[in-house]
Amino acid sequence: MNNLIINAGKDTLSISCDAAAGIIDMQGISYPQDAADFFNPVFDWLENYINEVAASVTLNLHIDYLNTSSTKCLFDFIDRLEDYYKQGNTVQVNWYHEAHDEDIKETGLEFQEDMELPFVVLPYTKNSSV
Amino acid sequence: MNDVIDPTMKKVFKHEFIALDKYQLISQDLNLSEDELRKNYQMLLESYRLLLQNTTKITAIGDINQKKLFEAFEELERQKAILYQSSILDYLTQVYNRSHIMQIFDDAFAQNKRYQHIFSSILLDIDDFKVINDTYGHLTGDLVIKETARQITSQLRETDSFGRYGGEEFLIVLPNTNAAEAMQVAEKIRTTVAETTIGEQNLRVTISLGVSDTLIDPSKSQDEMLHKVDLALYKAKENGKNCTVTYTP
Repeated sequence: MNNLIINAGKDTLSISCDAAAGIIDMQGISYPQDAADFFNPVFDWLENYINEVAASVTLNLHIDYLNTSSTKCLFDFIDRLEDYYKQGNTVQVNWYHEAHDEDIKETGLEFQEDMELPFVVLPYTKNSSV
Repeated sequence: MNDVIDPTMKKVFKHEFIALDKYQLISQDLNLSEDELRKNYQMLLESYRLLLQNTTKITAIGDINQKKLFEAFEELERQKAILYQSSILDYLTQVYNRSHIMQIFDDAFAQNKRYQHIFSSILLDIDDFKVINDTYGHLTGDLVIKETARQITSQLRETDSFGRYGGEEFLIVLPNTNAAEAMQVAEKIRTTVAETTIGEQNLRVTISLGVSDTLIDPSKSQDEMLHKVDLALYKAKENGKNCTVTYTP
């Protein structure tokens, strides 16, 4: 199965999906005109992974800013991971926030609150992580 | 109602719109059995519960991000103000730097040419500054420049603009002021500086000043006008320093 690499745009996240490791990394800011269009390939990749590889999934998030439609897309994406987890698969979501960034920490906690899957909110220092 | 919703939103909220469509289908078909109606009703209830939950969540996250955005915007404005200040101020004296005082001088010159608004300029220089530097070192030299700038500032009127023109040379632009009035300001500055002691060594310095206005000097260019006031300053130095000279054609 192929990996998926999306480079960061002016208003979009950088995303890398590693099929062999089962790791999805998302980084940066997201406020595209059409969030659904942007996230579609990532949803497709996840469906293929679930069907073809069917192994564990780790989602690492280093988010700096999300607009409302991107929030909704990410919400749906984690929802899909939650379904997969509830089917008995290993899933881990790591939400990283810069140590001083209370807003992004709070955003992570808002996501965490509603999800019934392993979801941790962790501080990191830029340049030493990622 | 659906038609007025942005298609992008329809894509993002596709699950919610499917629930809405289902609701419309069911509400149109009331020939369902009681059991079917109950089942559909419960399904709808669950869809709406989830929808409400998601909407609340997304709104909360949206608000956090909006706050973050506004904070970033405020920080940007703060940094812009700091950057602007540092771009117009002289680092040592915190009075206008050369480029900014020249901008003010150019504006006053343009106003004079267009509307005949009179203005004066004072060019001044610390006397024997090289001796101070050579005797006491550059740090003391800097202190003398800083303190002299502070004393000059204290004697200016609110509408006057003041900047460091060169090493120990300063330029003052006095709008709506003729040379006689500028002379009074210059003399107040000169005596204040002469009476001030500076630093632990109680140093005293004097300044020489040249004054000119746009009536006695109808120069055609800014450079020409600056040259004339510089000539007046030169004459003040020639007259033995610690004095003010008004330009005479």
